[in-house]
Amino acid sequence: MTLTEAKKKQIYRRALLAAVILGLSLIQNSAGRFLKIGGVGPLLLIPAVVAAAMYEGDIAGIFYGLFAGALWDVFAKGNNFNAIFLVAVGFACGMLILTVMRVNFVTHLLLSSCASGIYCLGYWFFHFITPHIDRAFITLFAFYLPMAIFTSVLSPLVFLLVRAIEIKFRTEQYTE
Amino acid sequence: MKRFYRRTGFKIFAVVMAALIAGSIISVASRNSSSPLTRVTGVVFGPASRLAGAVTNNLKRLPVTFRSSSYLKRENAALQSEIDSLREQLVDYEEVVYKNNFYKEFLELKEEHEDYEFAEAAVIGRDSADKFGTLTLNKGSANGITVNDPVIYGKYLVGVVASVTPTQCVVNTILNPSVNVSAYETRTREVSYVTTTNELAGKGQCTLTNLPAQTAVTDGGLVCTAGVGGIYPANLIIGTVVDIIDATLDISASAVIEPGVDFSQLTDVLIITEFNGQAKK
Repeated sequence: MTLTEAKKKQIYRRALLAAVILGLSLIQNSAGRFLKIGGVGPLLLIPAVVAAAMYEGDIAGIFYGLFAGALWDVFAKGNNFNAIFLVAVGFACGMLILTVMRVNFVTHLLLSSCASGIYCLGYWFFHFITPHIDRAFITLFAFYLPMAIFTSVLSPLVFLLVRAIEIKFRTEQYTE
Repeated sequence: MKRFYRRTGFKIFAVVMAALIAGSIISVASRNSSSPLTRVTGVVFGPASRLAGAVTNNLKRLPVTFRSSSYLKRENAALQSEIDSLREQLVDYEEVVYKNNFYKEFLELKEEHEDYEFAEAAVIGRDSADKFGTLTLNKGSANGITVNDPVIYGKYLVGVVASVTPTQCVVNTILNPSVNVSAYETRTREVSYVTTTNELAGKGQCTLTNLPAQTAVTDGGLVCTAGVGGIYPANLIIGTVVDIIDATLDISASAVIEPGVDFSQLTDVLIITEFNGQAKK
């Protein structure tokens, strides 16, 4: 069975997006000090899943979130926390684009910043506040909020990368 | 609203979330503390993680060469080529020296403790979101690693295995407040336990806590594992006492400890998979 040109482009595009997510996962969780400032590194998988969901839709967003979250959980405690979060982010961003938002730089920055902020606050709350770790608020301002800001600062680069892939292998006109 | 719930996307989302939550429950209940999804992903993408870890660890050792202007380029080309070759040999030499020192410590440890069974592991990743610096190592249950196996560097305690997949494991270091180690100070023989707080972990320190107010522990004392509880063997070095602090809420005291290991520089460690006195797995 021969594939249509549009189908081939879709396959290349989605495979390339998956490869980008794999690469960003390795950069984010690398053993060295690569891309870290003062011990704080960006969570590149969040803007990657947001961008992929914005362009590919809610269903693809679910699976990109699942893939990215599974890769992240390998370096974390392995209890599916990151997979659950990124699946929800992928689905939510895909639905928002379908209903009330457009795909552009500003909406991506907004959604990435919100998602990384929610992740950092949630992680801080469950790992510092609920177990009553001392000086939790200092950790919030010294580590987790800078991490969210660093992620937001780098999210445009991730958006531009995903956008380049989408434009190169697009099969329909995008409204930006 | 009903249309939203009837959408294919929502149904897929619900199924995937249910499966992930079930996986979370399995990870909590299982002895490996890792979900089936994480185990499969670890096996499939493990080689990529190891490669990335090796690349980022070696980035700083890349020789940097500079080319002179075009006028001098021909004259200096031969010398530059020789310098590059010597630098590569120096990199290899430093790697050999490092490995030699590592295995020398391993041999000394094995001679002192014949009951220890080890697995050598390399650090291939660290979770960016974890402030306390968990380590991901390139050995897993396929190599005999299980949850609660102690991790060491030479004679120093690094931490404990927190979760395991077939090809990788995640380690909580002693700078994680959830890690508690029964310990004693070698000169006074006072026994308590080592833990840490958020503040101390930020400085790279931990504390031997619940000491009596009249403790004889002083700066410079060496703190080692006591071997109580069956998780950590006895006499692994945790660190050196740098300060004694009186508790504010009761009449106890605690000793601030500087660990013997620089966790940010760790690239290779040993996992003790078996030792005499280990609690049943």
